[in-house]
Amino acid sequence: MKKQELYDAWKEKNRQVTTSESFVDNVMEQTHQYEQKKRETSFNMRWLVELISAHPTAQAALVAVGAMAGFIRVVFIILVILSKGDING
Amino acid sequence: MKETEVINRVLQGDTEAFRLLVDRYQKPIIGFVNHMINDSHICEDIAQDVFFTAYKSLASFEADRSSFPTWLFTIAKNKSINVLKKKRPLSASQLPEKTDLHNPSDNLSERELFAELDKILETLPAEQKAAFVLAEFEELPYAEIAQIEGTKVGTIKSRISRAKEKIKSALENLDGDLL
Repeated sequence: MKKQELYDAWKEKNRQVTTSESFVDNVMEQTHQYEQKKRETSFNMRWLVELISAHPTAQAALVAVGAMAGFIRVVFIILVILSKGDING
Repeated sequence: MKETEVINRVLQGDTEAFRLLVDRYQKPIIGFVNHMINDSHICEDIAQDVFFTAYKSLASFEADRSSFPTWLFTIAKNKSINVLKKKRPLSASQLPEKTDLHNPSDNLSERELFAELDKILETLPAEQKAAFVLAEFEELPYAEIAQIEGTKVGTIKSRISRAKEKIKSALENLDGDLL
């Protein structure tokens, strides 16, 4: 057999690809699961937004949590400034 | 159905339409990944990951910049290179130039010769191997390979020519031993 023929036969052998029958189904299952998860997450977020907008108590709780977080942050910044002053002084 | 139509359908929420694309490109992608990593046990898992990544980032695919298969091969190449980086590189003693490939007393059957050529292909640098596999096995045009590799056509030509040189020179040595 000539070298070129051997080379071509080797190429031809490597062009043959066998795939498992379930390959496409496996990919599709993964994509469907991903879509399902995405839908669930977006449903949860929508549920939370609807809950907050429908209940004044939930709105008040959200504002209170926000105010508390802001207050803690301000206190933390003041503490940091004061501790730096102690180190320098 | 045209590829762009299928992609639009998927983007509009018809997940099942993606099956057409997987079905159309499963063989070239699995084949490419298999040649790149040379591990038939994990190549389907990696190919599956290629399609899943493509599905998740389908919105970022720009049809005017590249064709869908080119884009898919780019993802496959990147994933294969990541796998190769994690794999232990072949030591110098395992390289075909150093191994006893050409022993006049041994006669090789065609199957054994092909296995030796496969080994040589395995030892090529990842970029050379990718260019060679895409050109010789997948029969993609150089311009498309350059797009996949993110380099110039000239660079691709030289990578392919170097890879061919190595394989053909091995073939010269081995062919003498062919039964």
